[in-house]
Amino acid sequence: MDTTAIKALDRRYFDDVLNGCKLEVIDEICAENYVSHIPGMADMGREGDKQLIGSMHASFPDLHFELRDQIAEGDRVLHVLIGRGTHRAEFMNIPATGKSIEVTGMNINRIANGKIAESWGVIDILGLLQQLGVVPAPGGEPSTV
Amino acid sequence: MVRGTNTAEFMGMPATNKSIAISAMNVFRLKDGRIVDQQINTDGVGMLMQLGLIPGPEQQEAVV
Repeated sequence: MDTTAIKALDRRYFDDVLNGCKLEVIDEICAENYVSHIPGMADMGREGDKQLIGSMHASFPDLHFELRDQIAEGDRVLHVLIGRGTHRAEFMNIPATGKSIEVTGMNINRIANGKIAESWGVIDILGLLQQLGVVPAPGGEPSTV
Repeated sequence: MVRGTNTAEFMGMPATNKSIAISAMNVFRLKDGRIVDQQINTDGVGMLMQLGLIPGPEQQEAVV
């Protein structure tokens, strides 16, 4: 796949899976042995990915990701995103706070045989926890994006 | 991957003398051969857990 096709595949994941929460698309565009690495979490396959994205949309029903940047080279594509939503149901054992959050994230996908084979993501979970009020911000300052 | 040992005050917190290993991604935007801005995402939760400053059930997994 050339970089244009790789970007389109990544965009499909971004639009249909992350934003659209069409979890079945994961089986179509991610390889059978797909692995997602996110710091602080055990490595996830396709089912783990579905569970995580489903739970995010269940907890933040108005969740929407804005694509800030997308860069592709070789067999890798990176996207930079901002996620926004309102915490309406339990998430990561935190009961609904009704608070609106705004967090940044970056993700690198490796493409093989026309599918997403591996993924590395770094999400601002600390910012999320600070905005939900469960972790104090350094110096007591509110977290800003 | 960022590795280091916290031997002095950091972000208002006294030295813990603990070593950390955390993931990070930086995206630089260039113009006319120079960096004009950068976006950074780091595993802040992992850092604070590894420094022992916040608790967490994921504490063991966060140590890379």
